[in-house]
Amino acid sequence: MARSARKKKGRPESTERLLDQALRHINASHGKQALDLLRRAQFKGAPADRLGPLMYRASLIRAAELEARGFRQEAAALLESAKTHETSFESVEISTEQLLPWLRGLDDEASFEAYAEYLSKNEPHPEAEIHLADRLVLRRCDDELAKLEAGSSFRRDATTVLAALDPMDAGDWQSAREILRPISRTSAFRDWRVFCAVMDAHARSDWNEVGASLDRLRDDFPLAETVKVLRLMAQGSHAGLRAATGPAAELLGAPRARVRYLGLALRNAIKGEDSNRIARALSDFARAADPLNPTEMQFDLVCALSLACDDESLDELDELEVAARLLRAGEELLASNRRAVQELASNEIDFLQAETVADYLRQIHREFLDPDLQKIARGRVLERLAMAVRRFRHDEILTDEAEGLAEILGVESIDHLVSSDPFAGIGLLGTSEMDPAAIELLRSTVREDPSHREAHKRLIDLVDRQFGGKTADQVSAREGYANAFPEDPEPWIGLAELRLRSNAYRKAEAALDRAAKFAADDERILDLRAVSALVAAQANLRNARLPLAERDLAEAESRASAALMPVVLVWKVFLHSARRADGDLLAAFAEVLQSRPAALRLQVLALCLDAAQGRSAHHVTKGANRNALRAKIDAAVAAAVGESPAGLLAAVSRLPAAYECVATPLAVAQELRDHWSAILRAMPGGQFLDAVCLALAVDASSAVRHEALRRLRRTKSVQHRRILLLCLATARFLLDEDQDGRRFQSLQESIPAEELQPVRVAAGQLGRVLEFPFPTHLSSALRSFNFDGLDADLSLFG
Amino acid sequence: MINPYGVLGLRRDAGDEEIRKRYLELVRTYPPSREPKSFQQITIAYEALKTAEARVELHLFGWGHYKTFDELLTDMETALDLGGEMLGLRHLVKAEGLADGKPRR
Repeated sequence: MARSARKKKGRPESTERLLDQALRHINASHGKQALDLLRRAQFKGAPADRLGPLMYRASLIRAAELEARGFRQEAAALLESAKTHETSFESVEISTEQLLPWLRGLDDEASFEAYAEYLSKNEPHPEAEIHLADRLVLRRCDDELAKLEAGSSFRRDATTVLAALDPMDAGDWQSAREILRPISRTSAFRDWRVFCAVMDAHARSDWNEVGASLDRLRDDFPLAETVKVLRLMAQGSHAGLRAATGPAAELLGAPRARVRYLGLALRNAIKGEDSNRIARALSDFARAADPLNPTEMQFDLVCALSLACDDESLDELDELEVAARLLRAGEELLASNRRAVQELASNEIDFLQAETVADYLRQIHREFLDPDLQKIARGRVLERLAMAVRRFRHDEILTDEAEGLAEILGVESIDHLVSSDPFAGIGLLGTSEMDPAAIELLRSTVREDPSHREAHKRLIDLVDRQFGGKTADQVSAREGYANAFPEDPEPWIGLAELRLRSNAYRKAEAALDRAAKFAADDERILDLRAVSALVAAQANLRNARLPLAERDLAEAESRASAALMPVVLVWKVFLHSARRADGDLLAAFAEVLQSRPAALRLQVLALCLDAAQGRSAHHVTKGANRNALRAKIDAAVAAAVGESPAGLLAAVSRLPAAYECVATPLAVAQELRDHWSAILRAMPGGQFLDAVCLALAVDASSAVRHEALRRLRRTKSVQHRRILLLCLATARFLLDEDQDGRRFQSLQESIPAEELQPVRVAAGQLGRVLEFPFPTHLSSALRSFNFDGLDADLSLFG
Repeated sequence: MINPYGVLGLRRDAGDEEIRKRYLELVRTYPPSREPKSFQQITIAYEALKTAEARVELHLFGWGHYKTFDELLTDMETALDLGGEMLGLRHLVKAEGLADGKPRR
């Protein structure tokens, strides 16, 4: 060995020998060795005409090597220096074997040019074409295509591939796959066709096809990382997926697949009831699902898993107990108590759970370090507790057992809790609708914290619902909300409604202007503007400012919806009456409503009578003759009943509750009390129940009783009989002919369960109308039909 | 409820300012015109974390509604699926450092 080395060392290096060796390295794509040898040959004075082309090729190969290793600046510098040796492809005389490394060292333009030159003397080179195909797809150098012969198969396929690039870029792999279908198995672009199939299958999560298509890709496909991650995903390898990180893995959804696999592993571990396995799986799953918050995620998972108990595979396990053991010892109790807190949002609560919730409240400082957040959390938990308690009618926990609850919650008393902790107080009292203490508490809360939107909303709600509530309180609550949130249209709309109810139309208009700034297209604002114009017209008419009243009425008429129009017409009648010297209301009525339908005429008449009786219009009905009005209504009813009884009902019942400030359907229906027998008699079956509801609501029970009996004698339909019997029983109850719900009970027992549905719907309609102010025992009797949640619009007779 | 911290890629102790900053950053990356599904997911997640009250509510009751383990798994996966619906060649080419991913035409 030593002798050989000495011999080698001693041998003189000729320039010829160095150039030959360098050429061999160039052909083997060993750029560094080739350059070393060439520099030594240059030092020894090798001829420039031989040295130049070899130096150029070696520099290109070395530059490519450096670039592949990330030394881009060095590669660029080498390429720059290689330009001094730049020469033509012809002068280099590249062989078929040398072509590929040669092309790899060139830029896009030069590589296509070089291949075109190569083709002019040789047959097509498959590997070189694959290389150029990859360049074309990855670097989009389609301008260079023109350098190749127009009729070549490469250019033909390239045109097809270029058409598929847009869908490929947009992620529409299915379309791209379709476009690439003509690409043959021998084409240089075949791998891109296969890759489209891979990505299309990936998008469909068809892992079998992904795996099969990947096997058809060549080993040195340029998107190596993508292919590697896809292969791991197709194989479902846990360990591999855990290692698969980086941008390509993120894009391809490897984390998503990891969560799925680890989730399944967790499920299997829980099924196996092996604590150690569960611990590992839970920890792995939490880290994969939320890498930034693994501990918190693990904690959440314990709670979520314990609640997922409807799952058949988990229902026989006390998985909470199993999982809770995995958490740090100090958090076990917290986890089990938090589970009870989360169940507050579901449908089950009992007094024992209240104790567990109280345990949680005592530990809340461990979950929320910030004192403000602790307060909020405490309030939210108490709120849920109160809601759950009330939902299941365990009011005794908050009333009869208030002391017990106070003890559980660790407070002196519930009252003390309410006064000392507004958030907790809102929680406990916020759902108690009539509780003045809750209102007081909410007032103090919004005073201290005007940005508490929820407190504002609840305060408005409670003040509105308070029995005998004062307008001033309602206005003040809304103003407080509006001042705290000036860009929220809701309080302004509410304020406008309130102002209109007290006829303060100027203030209402101001509130509507504010609301319109933030919600110009809100239909409620448009409607309220019509009502506002009407209220202004009423005020002007009362004060004999007739031109102004006429202007306002015209505005109201232009804006009024179909529902509001009858009320506008009433005041138009009053305006005409006021203009007449004799003030004759009936003549004015004829002027305004002559050509209108009978039902509308009747409705307007009834409203006229209602307004004339009330204080609102007595100034403008000085000449009105009540008996004449009554006679006119009688005639109108007769005409309307004959013309269209269903239309009559629609006209009477169409006024929505929103216009309560100007008229109500009940007020109109009340005016027809002498006519209900005729109306019910003329009412077709489809609308009969609606008419009964309205008649019962305005105390026309005897008319209902009479008509129901008459129809019962004539009907042969079993279903109709049952509903008529229900109407009859309700009317008898209201007429004090029955004192209890026995008739309802026997009717219910006589109907087979599968045929009960229509009667339950009918009971629902009656029940909703008679909920208030009628005796609660009637409501209870109707509620025995259990109609909650049924579709009230179900056709009964039709 | 999808884990909004997972969707936005935030720590649980992130405050109002940090959450808002991250939301705006993601909205710029996934604008509604190009990535409507992702944008919707980001917005839902942001709404769930926008205020301290909302975060407390989520922390206390956010996990309470899962009825099955599968439902939970699906949500976890969805949270990690941000932007996945538009995975195109340019994204992959860029991710592998083969080119800048921008068409040169």
